[in-house]
Amino acid sequence: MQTVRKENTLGRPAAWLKEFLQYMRKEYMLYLMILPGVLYIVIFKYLPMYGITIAFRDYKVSSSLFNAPWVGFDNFVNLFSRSAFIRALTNNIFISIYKLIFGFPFPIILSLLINEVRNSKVKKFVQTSVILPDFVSWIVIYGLMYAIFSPSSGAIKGLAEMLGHKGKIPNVLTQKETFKSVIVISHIWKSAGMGTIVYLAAISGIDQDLYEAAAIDGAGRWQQMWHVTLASLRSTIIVLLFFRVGQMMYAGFDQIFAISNDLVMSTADIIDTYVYRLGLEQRKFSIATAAGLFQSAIGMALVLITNYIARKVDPDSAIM
Amino acid sequence: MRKMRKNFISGLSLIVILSLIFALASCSKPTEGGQPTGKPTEAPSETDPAETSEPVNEEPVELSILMSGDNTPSEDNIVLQELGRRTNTIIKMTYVPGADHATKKSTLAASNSLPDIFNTSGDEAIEFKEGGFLAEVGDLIYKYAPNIIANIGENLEKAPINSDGIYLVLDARLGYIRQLNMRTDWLANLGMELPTDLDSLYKVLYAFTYNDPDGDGQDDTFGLCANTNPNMFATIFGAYGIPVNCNIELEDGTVTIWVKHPKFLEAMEYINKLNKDGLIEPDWATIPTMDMFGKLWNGVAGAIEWECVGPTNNWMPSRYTEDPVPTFDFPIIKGPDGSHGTPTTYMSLTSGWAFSSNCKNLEAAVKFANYCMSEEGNELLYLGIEGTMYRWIDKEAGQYELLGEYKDSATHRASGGWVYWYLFAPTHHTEIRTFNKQTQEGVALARKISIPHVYIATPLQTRLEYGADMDQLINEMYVEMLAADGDLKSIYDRYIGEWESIGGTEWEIEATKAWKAQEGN
Amino acid sequence: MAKSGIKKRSVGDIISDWLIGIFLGLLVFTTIYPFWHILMYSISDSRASMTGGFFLLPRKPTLLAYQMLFKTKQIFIAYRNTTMKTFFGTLLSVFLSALTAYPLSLKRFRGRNFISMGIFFTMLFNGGIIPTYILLKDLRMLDTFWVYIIPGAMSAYNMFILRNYFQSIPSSLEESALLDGANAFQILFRIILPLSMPALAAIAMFYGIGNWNSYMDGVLYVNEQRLQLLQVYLRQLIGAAGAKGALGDAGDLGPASRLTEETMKMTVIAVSIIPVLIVYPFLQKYYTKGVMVGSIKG
Repeated sequence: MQTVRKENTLGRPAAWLKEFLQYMRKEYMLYLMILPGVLYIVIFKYLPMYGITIAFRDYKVSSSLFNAPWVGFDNFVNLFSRSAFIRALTNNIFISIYKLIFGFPFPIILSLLINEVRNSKVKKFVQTSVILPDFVSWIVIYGLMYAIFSPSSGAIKGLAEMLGHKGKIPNVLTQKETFKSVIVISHIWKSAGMGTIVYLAAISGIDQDLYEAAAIDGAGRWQQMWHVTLASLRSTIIVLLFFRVGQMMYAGFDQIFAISNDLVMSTADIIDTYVYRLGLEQRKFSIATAAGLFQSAIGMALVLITNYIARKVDPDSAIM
Repeated sequence: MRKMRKNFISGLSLIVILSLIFALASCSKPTEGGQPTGKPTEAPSETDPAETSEPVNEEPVELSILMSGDNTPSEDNIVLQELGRRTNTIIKMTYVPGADHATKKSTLAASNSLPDIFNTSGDEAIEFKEGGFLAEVGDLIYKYAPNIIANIGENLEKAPINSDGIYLVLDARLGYIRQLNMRTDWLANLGMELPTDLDSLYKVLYAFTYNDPDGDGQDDTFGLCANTNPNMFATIFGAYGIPVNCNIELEDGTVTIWVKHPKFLEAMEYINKLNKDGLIEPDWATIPTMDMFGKLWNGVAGAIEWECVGPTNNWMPSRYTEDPVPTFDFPIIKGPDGSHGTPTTYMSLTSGWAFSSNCKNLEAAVKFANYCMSEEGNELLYLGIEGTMYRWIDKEAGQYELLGEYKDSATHRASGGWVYWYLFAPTHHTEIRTFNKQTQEGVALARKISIPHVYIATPLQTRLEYGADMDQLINEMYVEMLAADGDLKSIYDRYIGEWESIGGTEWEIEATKAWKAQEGN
Repeated sequence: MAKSGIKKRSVGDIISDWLIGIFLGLLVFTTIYPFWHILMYSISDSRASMTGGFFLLPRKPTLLAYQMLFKTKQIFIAYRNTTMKTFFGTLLSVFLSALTAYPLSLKRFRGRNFISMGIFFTMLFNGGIIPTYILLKDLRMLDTFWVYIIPGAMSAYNMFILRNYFQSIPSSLEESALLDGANAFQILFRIILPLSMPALAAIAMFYGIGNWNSYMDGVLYVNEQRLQLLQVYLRQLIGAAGAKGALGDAGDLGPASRLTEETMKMTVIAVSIIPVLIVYPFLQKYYTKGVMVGSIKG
């Protein structure tokens, strides 16, 4: 925030007010402009937030939300006392970290590569193709994964037999040891295309003069990619990284719900799938809300930490 | 640049104009929605008062109903119209996809806008009752609903939720019972008989897998298909006297889960061997349900554990890809001590239909429910309008034919047939009555040899608290034992130990107590 | 990068072209195949499809599933509702996001950090389904078309992306306009937005796809079929394909009973993706072409 000259504020309120009125006279249009957005956020996002208190109450749909008895942190204690939740939390952390490390950079690399395609028709074709998996639900993707990996009728088996392999084919969908890789790779494959859209939009906003200047300085293709394209994407990458970090604890319910099975559950179960099972069988709104609040709070903490580091390294990149 | 700007400005003005038009158009909508009586009020003029048992001149009553399922009947379909005419009601049906029914109901309940009639069960039903959402309809039912009394009988009052008045009209339907469906054409090809015990069952499944039962010269068949649900082996567990997925009473009187049956390990050894020897279709751990059925439909598997309603009735003949279509029979597999059969199904004491306390005319709602539970009412909801949509060939034997455009099941469904039939369905409902002969016999056979088990009607606190965790452990134990190469006992001990420590022991105590109390009555 | 292409290309360039080409080629193959599979499956005979495997070509081609899909009047109502939701919802959303993003992109805007944080906070925390439902009930929005476009009118994510893009526009442009006496609205609409077409196209795309695919709105907030959304209709249709739930019809009951749920599912997916693929290139044009910022400056 622009600093208002502090030394004057206490002693001479009139001057402070005068300055403020002056500012408002000049910039009132900006406030008029942002008013609808702020109203929207307040009404549709902040008003329902009293729902978060469900996490601290013993809530049932049959009682009014405001009458439900307060139970303090009981719901959180309940959650953390369950060994199955601890298992889900542990898996959740690992899957989230893998998805962040391997999944976050991939759309950036992909957009840089797409941007290197010279033929504009081919370029458009590639772009359209890579977003396609995003339209197909995980249930359907799983159907295809099953068709590929099935040990009795899958494509892998057919391929292996063609190459002369006899005997059993291990089913990667039931191997505990490697299932986290299946989760991460299929996640990257499905979401990378959509992830390129923001980057490509940012790339197309880059001033072409910069490339010419770099070329004149003797920068080759990869150097241009590094020094011009990637450098220009920096602020976009950072903003998206903050968003991603904030959602860290949401490790992909739809995906894991669709592709996991009981043989790999011990390594695939995450908070959301666990809470889903709780809710399904036990109608635990309060516990589900508590779990959600926990996930969000961790996200918030991670954002603050990231922001702190960002500010230390490079003050411009911090968002707060 | 200038051109671009101009384009943009004209684009913007277009947006503004469109928004205005849209705003005006939308303004009229809420009012339209606010007067839902506009169209339906014409209905009574068409009604011949003499046809209904209602007194002349009585206005039809509006009833809102929430149902779920995966169909797309049109809002003003002829079946609902006909039902409305016959019961002197105007039905406002909200029909949501099955997967989101619970969420929808929760939001409706939380905002105190539950419809007049909806289904509910277990913990939710009790919560609704305690919250004052359910209407007490005891007097009305005894006065106006003989069909409900006839179908549900004493269970109506036996249900714990109805201990102080009738709040829940229980589901009168009984679930179908599983049995082994085995291909007799394959048996004939192999010159084998229907198996009768575990040894002959193994031999048949082995021959189905390795002796080319379909005679196509390829090694592409398996004994049976399964998924990760233990009830895909209900008959085998039954031969060891174990009611799969149900609760049991041990000799010392303790009530516990089925996997603690003394013969469980023995049964698992048998199933584990089937898997090791390759007699079970190897995709069982990851297969989607439809693909599992597909293994039967395509002639990959020679047997499936399922309600025979699927293999011999509903899938027959159009789902099978072979020509001629396979034939089935239902072997009875007896264990070493002669045990056989699969878990029976009891009439639910915890799930059913409820009337909202918001309902303005409970009397009409109860009369409506009573009509739905009649033979005539259920026929209308299942087969549609007699004479228009179908006609009976032989009503006794349950043979009918669809008429005209309704021969196409999609049209039939869009007109309301086969969609709402479980609404207050009677015990001997139209679906059962219209099965083919083999299926009717199969359904009866499965029930005849079914094995009893512990059915506790009161919600148990320990289950509400630890149920999901306990179930998941048992699921994981089961698949691990099924797929294991080594010693099953150590897997079993590890999981059961954990199960007991996370609430299992506590649950056993509560369940035993509840069962004793229930049996005492 | 057309400019560097004019120059004589080195061996390294050619090799990297090939590497990029092979990588993207493989990726494109894996991303196109599922959609191709769905398309081919949807026009194959259900029984022929049951054996599974790969679908490079349709098996016993038939349009039965599509005929069944478009048989009823309701699908057109559902299409209309979803199209209207997508069109008006996206317009409103992009408009609102731009109005919100612009002030937040200005360093001189007081309260910028406070409002940004306030909005960012809503990305992390939300009140849940039930309070939202009660709010919409109190606002009398349930069972009206408004409920489709107002409650989801702005996504914080898209708004921040737009703000970020606005920030990358050289402030010199804005300053010169300010000197010319332009007000904030004029600057936004005449200078900033035309320069932001790539970002606007990208977020319009996100909003559009979100609206097109929206499903829970249609289930929770609406009871009447005249307001049914396409995705709700389609989802219910999958189960209706010749089936009583998962069990199938008795006997031979017309063409529908020869369809499996699987074929219907594939058809439904195809039908909901194809319109997106038709509209997509129109938006794609904007975010790939780029704006010659340099030439505007001049």
